[in-house]
Amino acid sequence: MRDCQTTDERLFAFVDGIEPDLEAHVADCDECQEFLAELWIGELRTDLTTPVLRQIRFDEFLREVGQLTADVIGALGRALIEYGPGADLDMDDDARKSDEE
Amino acid sequence: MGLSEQKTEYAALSDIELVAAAGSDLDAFGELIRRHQDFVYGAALRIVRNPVMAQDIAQEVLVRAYRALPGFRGKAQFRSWLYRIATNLALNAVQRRREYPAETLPEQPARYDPASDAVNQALREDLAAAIGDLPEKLKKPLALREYEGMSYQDIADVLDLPINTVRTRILRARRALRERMEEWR
Repeated sequence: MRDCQTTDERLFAFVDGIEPDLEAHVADCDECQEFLAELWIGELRTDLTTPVLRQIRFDEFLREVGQLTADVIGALGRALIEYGPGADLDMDDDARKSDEE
Repeated sequence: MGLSEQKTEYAALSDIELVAAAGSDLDAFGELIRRHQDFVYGAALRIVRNPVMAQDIAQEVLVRAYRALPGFRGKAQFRSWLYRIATNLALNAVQRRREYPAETLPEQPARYDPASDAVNQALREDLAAAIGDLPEKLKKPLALREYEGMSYQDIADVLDLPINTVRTRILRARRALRERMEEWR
């Protein structure tokens, strides 16, 4: 038995879904988690390292593309304000004023 | 630095050190994945009782953990933190399955990939000798688990033993091997 007084049998039952009351305890107990980590060695038959890292890299890529798109749209917006049809009128007004002066 | 050399270096780091490095070095997070993926999967499987679903959840847990790393303060152990994320996602998945029941997915076939084992020849020989020296009642269940990739329940059926006896024997066998292989650490 470990310091937290939880027996191996109770943890086996917890794993089998028979001891759901242990949930809160296990979530906080390093000893019980250590035991479960040992018990679950080899449970997973596929190494998740590559797919997880690939997904993280892809998410990063999407984030960067999103940022780039936002930057481009922002630049286009600024260009439109600066050089768009409305800007021509403003420029004409400015030219007329300077001619009148 | 070579890949295997880098892996060895990461293996020597604690979880906290790896978490600190993972912000700027994704490979450090890769070591955390290798270290905890079985645990995360086990935590999810305990709740969802479906290996395919548990694997998907484990993957999602690890991706979310990476995104949330800046918020990990290190007050709890990294493994406890993962456990909570895994439990929450698994419970959500069970809830969704109740609301939107889908057809049952087939279980993934067991796979053993000796090529992924990075130990060198001498270590392998020592390990084989250590396994050979185990008492028969520990050796058999361990071999079925590690070499055949069988579930605890399947081993219990094959050896005609209660499942908890099988679990206990495999844990004892692993501990005995770990002590014996201590010099390789």
